[in-house]
Amino acid sequence: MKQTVLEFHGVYKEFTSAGGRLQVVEDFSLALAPGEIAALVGPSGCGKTTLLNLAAGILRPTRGRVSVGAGVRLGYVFQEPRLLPWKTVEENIRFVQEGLFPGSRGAALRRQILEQVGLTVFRGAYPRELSGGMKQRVELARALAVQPDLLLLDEPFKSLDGEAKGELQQLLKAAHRQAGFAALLVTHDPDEAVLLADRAVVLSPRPARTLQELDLQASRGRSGWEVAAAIRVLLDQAG
Amino acid sequence: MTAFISKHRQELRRILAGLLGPAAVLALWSGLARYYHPMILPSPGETWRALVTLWREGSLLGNVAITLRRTVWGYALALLAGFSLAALTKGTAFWRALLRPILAIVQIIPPVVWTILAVIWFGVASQSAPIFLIFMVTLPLSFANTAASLDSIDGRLVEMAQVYRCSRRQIVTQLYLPALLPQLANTVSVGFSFAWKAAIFAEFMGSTSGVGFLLSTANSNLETEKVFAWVLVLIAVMLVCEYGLLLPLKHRAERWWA
Ligand SMILES: Nc1ncnc2c1ncn2[C@@H]1O[C@H](COP(=O)(O)OP(=O)(O)OP(=O)(O)O)[C@@H](O)[C@H]1O
Ligand SMILES: [Mg+2]
Repeated sequence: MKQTVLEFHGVYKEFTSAGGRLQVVEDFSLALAPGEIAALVGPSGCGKTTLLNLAAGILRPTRGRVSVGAGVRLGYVFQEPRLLPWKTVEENIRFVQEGLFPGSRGAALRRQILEQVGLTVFRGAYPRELSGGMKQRVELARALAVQPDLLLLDEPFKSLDGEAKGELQQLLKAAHRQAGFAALLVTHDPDEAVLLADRAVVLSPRPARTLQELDLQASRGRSGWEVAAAIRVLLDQAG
Repeated sequence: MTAFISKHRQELRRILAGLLGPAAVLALWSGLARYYHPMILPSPGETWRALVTLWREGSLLGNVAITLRRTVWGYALALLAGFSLAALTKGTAFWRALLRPILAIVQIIPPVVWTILAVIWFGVASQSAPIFLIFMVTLPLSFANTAASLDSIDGRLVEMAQVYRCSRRQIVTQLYLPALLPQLANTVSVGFSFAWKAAIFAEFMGSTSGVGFLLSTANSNLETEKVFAWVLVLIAVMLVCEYGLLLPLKHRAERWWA
């Protein structure tokens, strides 16, 4: 059997609420090998965050199976920042490191990552003192600070302007080259998928199904914008 | 400079406005007292002399301390129990279903019933009787308040901590506690004056010491000026507790969080 970090096997997810039932994920399958990055691209509201929450174990599938490899460590950049308001930037990061790297190793890691995401001067600031983009950076820093085997990224660069976005995309690429984590990246931006992922999974409108999987590695020889254009066409046809 | 003056003028006006109410009450009181017998309405002067007498007799501070101690004990136990019960009902649907109706019934029962039971069970001279009443009266309140603050904890932060495999101890001490603290401080300060009133009531109905007991003695001896003096003492103690202790505590908790 091929080793996987994360596997979705015929997954269905349905929400039941007062308004009735809502089918959000339909027969979704995906296997992610160590070090592999897959992009989930799909129209707004189709169920992308739900897929990440299933991978994180926050949600259970209604039908099918989601399995995460034994001993796989997770990092999750949430769509909306989930920082503890009573902790500073650095304390927020230390909070998730406590069980893993309690001592000076964690401190060194923290310092290095804060430097990389450009938050060194803000390490003593509280979340309410930060802009949306800066909170997003803290989210990313926190996720990297546990040295994850699997990184879940829910539109991690959305509240950043062009320059900062490019800078952090390069940072993520460099961290990936160095640490070799697998990642599931939710994005609206086909160019971002082409830049960062090995594979793009194009999703249908709700309920999310796989419309098409594109191997971006094989297509890297071709120009990136060609592939990005192909993803756009697929999204347009679907939405 | 003008801003400084106007700010101070505003402050001054606020303080004066705040004093206006009590001053009016005092004027009305001394005005009415002229027309009534001291046994029905003692004048402020007579009340003050009664207060001085109480002080000279040496029973004032000791009895205030007795009542305060009972208040703190009864209320602390109720807070502890209310918090534990709220945590239980938060954890499992079974406990919630079991406890909610019981506490609703406890809340409906009038305080005087608890006082009667306390005297029957613990005796008039017992320390535990007032403590029991304070406990029973403030328990439903502290349960409801802590349950509400537990419900208000942001579940998305708990999810985050679980995804990152934070330990249970970490989640309790670094997530639940800081999230609850400002609201708990509020609960404590609101409930404390309630507990204080319950203590006076319990001592009035069935006890042989404390401010409430001396209030009932003064009442049965027809020493109305002493009753008034004790009321002044009650107000003073509550103001000192509220502004000297509970409010600063609350502000501190809020500042710490914000
Ligand atoms: N816990 C829940 N209970 C009920 N419905 C939910 C729940 N979570 C999500 N949904 C619904 O499921 C659908 C998909 O939501 P989801 O957040 O996964 O979409 P998304 O693709 O991430 O959207 P976006 O692009 O806006 O981030 C939405 O219609 C949403 O209202
Ligand atoms: Mg989403």
